[in-house]
Amino acid sequence: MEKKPFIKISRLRKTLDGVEILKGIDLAIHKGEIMAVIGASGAGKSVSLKCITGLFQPDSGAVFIGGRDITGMGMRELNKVRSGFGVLFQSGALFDSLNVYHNVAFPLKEKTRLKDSEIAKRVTKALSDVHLKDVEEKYPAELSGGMKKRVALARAIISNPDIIFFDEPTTGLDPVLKQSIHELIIENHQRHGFTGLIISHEIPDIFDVADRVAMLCDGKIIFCGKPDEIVRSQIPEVKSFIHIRDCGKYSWDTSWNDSMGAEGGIKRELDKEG
Amino acid sequence: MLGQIIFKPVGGWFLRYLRDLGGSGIFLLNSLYYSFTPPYKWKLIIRQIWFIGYMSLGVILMTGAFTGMVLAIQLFYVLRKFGAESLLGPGVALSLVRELGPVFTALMVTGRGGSALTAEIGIMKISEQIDSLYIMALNPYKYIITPNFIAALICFPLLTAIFDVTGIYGGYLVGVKLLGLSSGVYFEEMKGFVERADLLIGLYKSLSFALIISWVCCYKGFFLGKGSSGFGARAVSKATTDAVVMSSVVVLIWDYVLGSYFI
Ligand SMILES: Nc1ncnc2c1ncn2[C@@H]1O[C@H](COP(=O)(O)OP(=O)(O)O)[C@@H](O)[C@H]1O
Ligand SMILES: [Mg+2]
Repeated sequence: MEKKPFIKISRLRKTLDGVEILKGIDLAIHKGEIMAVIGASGAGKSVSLKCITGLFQPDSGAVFIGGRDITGMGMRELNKVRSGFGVLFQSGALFDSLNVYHNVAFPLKEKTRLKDSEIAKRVTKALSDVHLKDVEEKYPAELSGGMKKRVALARAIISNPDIIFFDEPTTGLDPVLKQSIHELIIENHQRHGFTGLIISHEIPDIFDVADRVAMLCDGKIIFCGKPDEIVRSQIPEVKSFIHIRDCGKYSWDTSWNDSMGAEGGIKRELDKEG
Repeated sequence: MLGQIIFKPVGGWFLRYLRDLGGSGIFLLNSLYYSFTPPYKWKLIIRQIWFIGYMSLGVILMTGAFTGMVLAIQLFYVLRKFGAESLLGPGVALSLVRELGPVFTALMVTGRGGSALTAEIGIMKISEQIDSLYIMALNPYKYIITPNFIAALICFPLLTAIFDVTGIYGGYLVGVKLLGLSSGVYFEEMKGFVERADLLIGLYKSLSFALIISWVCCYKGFFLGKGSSGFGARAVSKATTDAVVMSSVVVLIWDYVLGSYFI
């Protein structure tokens, strides 16, 4: 029997500045599952994340979280849903008037009644999990892009939320760090069993992290399935997006060998994004 | 044809204007509601009092002193024509307490603090810091708007009082030390002419200016990029300029309205 999805997005549409960005998105994420969303830069991944978290009001469609539609919810109810959220914004969105320590401690300080010593312990642990040392006293403006990302990641997961949204958690990091962030996410998932949505460009590494992968293209989800299914997909857009990378153990069958020329454009665009 | 060229843009502008007006009204009501309901973020409120109040002291002392001195010279010139130099004290005090103190304080604080406020909130907006407060199920008003409202309501009357006192002493320096009036006349006449009502008008003015300035400057930052020149550094600089110009104009208009009501 089909399980009831924990997060269900149905026919989500959003127009920004007269341009239709999302043209009817359907996606279902089950409890405890990690869903990866891939897609070209500018495809609308971040916009859909903002619709799912209630920051943007969609033009039409619904977003069910735990069975309740959050679109059109009042602030009070929405806050109840959001108190189970952890979000890593693409830009990090650290509070620039607070230092790293207070940024990471912020969710605990404001939302829990933990003692300061307990908070300090957790912050130190969270920072060492993302491989940051001796930065507690620094302000966000003094950090590199990759360091900001990791501080923001620590802040997003410190309160062990039920649902975590990651908008490109590893963009701008070196391969070693990238690997360790992915391991951190997996480990954290095994321990706390959160439901996750990761927007990522790390193909194929993200396939080790995610239970399922969805691809956003031209405002629609054109593919959704297990990692080993996506690499065998015959949908042309998926094929060309996936197969410009060396997918290692997620190798594809040899029927794919045509139309090399079409990928150049996408690859260039991806490189720009990095 | 004509409709396309004239009515559409004008209509669009008018609709945007109305929406902006409605939006800013709702913003003010929200800000006031959250300002007067707990919990209070004392740390942030104190930080803003330090920023709006303490950091403005220097400029308030300077402008206050020179305003009083200029006022004394001008009034002395006029009063001498009527042989009424003895009224210099009340003249300086009344002008300062009723009018110049609240207005100049408001304009100075707008230039020093209001612009910085808009820029800071605007940058928080474009760097998604406000969004991340929403996501943490926290109320952004509590963290970045109401501390400014509360701090302004506390600081403006105090700064105005300081401005008035420094101005009166500036006038004393010019009138008594320079132009040779007796200091007894300068201060004693003041006691007779300056009434409680005059002080109250000054208080009302400074409180309402505090509201106007924190309203305009916070709103311009909080709703940055709505219908104006998009996002980014450009939008922040435009919002900052708009906020300063608009606060100053509204302060002067409101000063006239209050002044004509209390005459
Ligand atoms: N606040 C906004 N206002 C107007 N357009 C936006 C806004 N945010 C994003 N867009 C547009 O939406 C499209 C998708 O952006 P985004 O979701 O950020 O892409 P990505 O898939 O790389 O995350 C882009 O064309 C972008 O210009
Ligand atoms: Mg994005």
